[in-house]
Amino acid sequence: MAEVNLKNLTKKYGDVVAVQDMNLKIPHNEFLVLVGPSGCGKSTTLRMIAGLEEISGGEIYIGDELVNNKDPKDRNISMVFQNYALYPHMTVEQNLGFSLKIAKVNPSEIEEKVTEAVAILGLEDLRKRKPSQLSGGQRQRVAMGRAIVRRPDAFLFDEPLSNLDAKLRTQMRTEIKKLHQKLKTTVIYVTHDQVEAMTLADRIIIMREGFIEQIGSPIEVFNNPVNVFVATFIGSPPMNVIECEVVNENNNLFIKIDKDMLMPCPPSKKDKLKKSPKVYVGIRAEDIVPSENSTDAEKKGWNFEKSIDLAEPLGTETQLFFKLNDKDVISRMYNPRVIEVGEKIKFEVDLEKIHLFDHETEKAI
Amino acid sequence: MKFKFLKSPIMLIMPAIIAISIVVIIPLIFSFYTSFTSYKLTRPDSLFNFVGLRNYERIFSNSEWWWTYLRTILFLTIALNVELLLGLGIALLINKITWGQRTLRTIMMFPMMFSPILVGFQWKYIFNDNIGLLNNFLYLFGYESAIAWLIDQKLAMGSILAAEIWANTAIFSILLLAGLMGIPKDPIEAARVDGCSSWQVFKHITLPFLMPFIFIALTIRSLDVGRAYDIVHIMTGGGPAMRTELTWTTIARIGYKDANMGMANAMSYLSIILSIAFTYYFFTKLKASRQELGQ
Repeated sequence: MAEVNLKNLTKKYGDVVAVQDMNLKIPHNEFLVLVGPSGCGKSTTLRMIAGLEEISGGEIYIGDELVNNKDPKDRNISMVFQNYALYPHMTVEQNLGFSLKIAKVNPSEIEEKVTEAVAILGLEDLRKRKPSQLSGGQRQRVAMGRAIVRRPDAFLFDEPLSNLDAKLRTQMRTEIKKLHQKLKTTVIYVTHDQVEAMTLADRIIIMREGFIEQIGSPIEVFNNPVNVFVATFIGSPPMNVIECEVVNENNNLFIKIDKDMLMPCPPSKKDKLKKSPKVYVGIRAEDIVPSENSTDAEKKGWNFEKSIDLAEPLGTETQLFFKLNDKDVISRMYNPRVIEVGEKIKFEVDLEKIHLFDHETEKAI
Repeated sequence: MKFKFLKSPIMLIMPAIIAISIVVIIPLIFSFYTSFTSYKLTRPDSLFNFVGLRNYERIFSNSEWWWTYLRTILFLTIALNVELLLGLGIALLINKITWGQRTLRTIMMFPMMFSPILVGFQWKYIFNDNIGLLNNFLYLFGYESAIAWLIDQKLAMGSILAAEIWANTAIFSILLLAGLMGIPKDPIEAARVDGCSSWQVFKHITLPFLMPFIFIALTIRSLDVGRAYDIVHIMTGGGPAMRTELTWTTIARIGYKDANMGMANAMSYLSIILSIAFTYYFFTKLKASRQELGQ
């Protein structure tokens, strides 16, 4: 039961910087997700917290204690690994009780805690099995069980679901969430899957090349991405980002979103756009609404018409692909019907829902 | 057709049968047969002098042979244990090294590249009581009375063991290092997070993973040490007073010096039982350790 505090945490491999000056306070009981593309430093950060990786600079506190020079065994954390990392020569219950045995907990208490963990994770019938006799999902569950028997100060998860198939992944995701609600412990969870990040996190940290790009609740980072990278990383399908010229016609600012197609600048952003000749326009797929069913009176936003390059029906929705400024753009059509390739469709965009990013810095305007 | 049997499956396995017959079966049957004769190398006609179990009866009532047999078991046990421990230690150390590991691995294998005969000669001169390096070295430290390493009946066996261990520990190191390198990192890291000290990680995780490799190494080496002849022959010639004779030096003496091949072959079969016993024991252990790992 403790908060985790990182101060100027840095990791270098020779000249390569893996994590740069990371400052982060993770309050007790928070579910924090570190997300980013591979090589962004998220796993390294986790492994530094665990003590499996030496740190090159900065400080790590677990509770009030500085743990920089402490062995993993003295940090009272537990970790779930991507490849489960079960002990193949031990049965499920031996795997679960191993850390307690090492801590010289008396056998009756170990038995009690193992029984409890087995019950939480639904592994009752598998207690005497060895890891090689378990399925992927069961192994993952044992790995989690091994982490929870100890009641550590913090749980560290290193891409725990990436080796499972899609269906099992969704199921285990829910179980992890439930587990966190039940155990009320600090969780630091690393993933490259933004869906996992969105669904599990109290707070998301998006990392790139060793730096934190944005910290916020899932809704915050989804609605207000600070830059193009976050905007395209969070959300599925990724946000459409189109490079556009800014055009001034009769003192009215327009964004040239396609050949011969001018979109009025959102009123709230007019001042900021005046000086920039170019801008990145970000529009989420669900904000480009096919407007064929709505009457003119219902249309609030800006309208345009495009012919469709490709339609991918997904059941609840159909994703429509077309090009704006030679860039593939996706629109989500709910209540889908059969779409012919080349068919012209009218779309509507609520101008206040579009995101604008500076052309130089790629930061949100 | 005349050679109808040639069309049968027998013809297809004929080449293998012929090859195995020449290499294994015929020598085996021949030597087994001679162990029931009074065959002497110097008198080829004695090959047909069938004596039944007489050779075996004599061996069983020969206490000197059984001492040799026991000595061989002791020699095997000590050599294998010491080589295993040293080899494991070296492998663990080398496994920790990241820079220059390949070079060290090569250097480590140097003793294996020398002929056992030459290793025997070298150690014979190291242990020589007058001009040997060891006694001269001890002399420097004020130990003035020369120790008769190869002549004293208790020290001689130890000296041979030292040479044997020096020459062959590297085999254990190489095999165990291969095992160590094959151990997945994850369970070890998991154990460290689970609260294990380095020693506990070794005991609970590394060692079980290494067990199959240990038993493979022990099997190979038990066959190797079990047939030790050259190093003993060079260093002591079995002396003093046959106190360093092992089964195969005895067999060689009886077979070639005394030319009593029938007896020697009978002894050989008893020696082979020893090797089979060791191999069987280690293979059983190997199987168990693999099952333990779920392999």
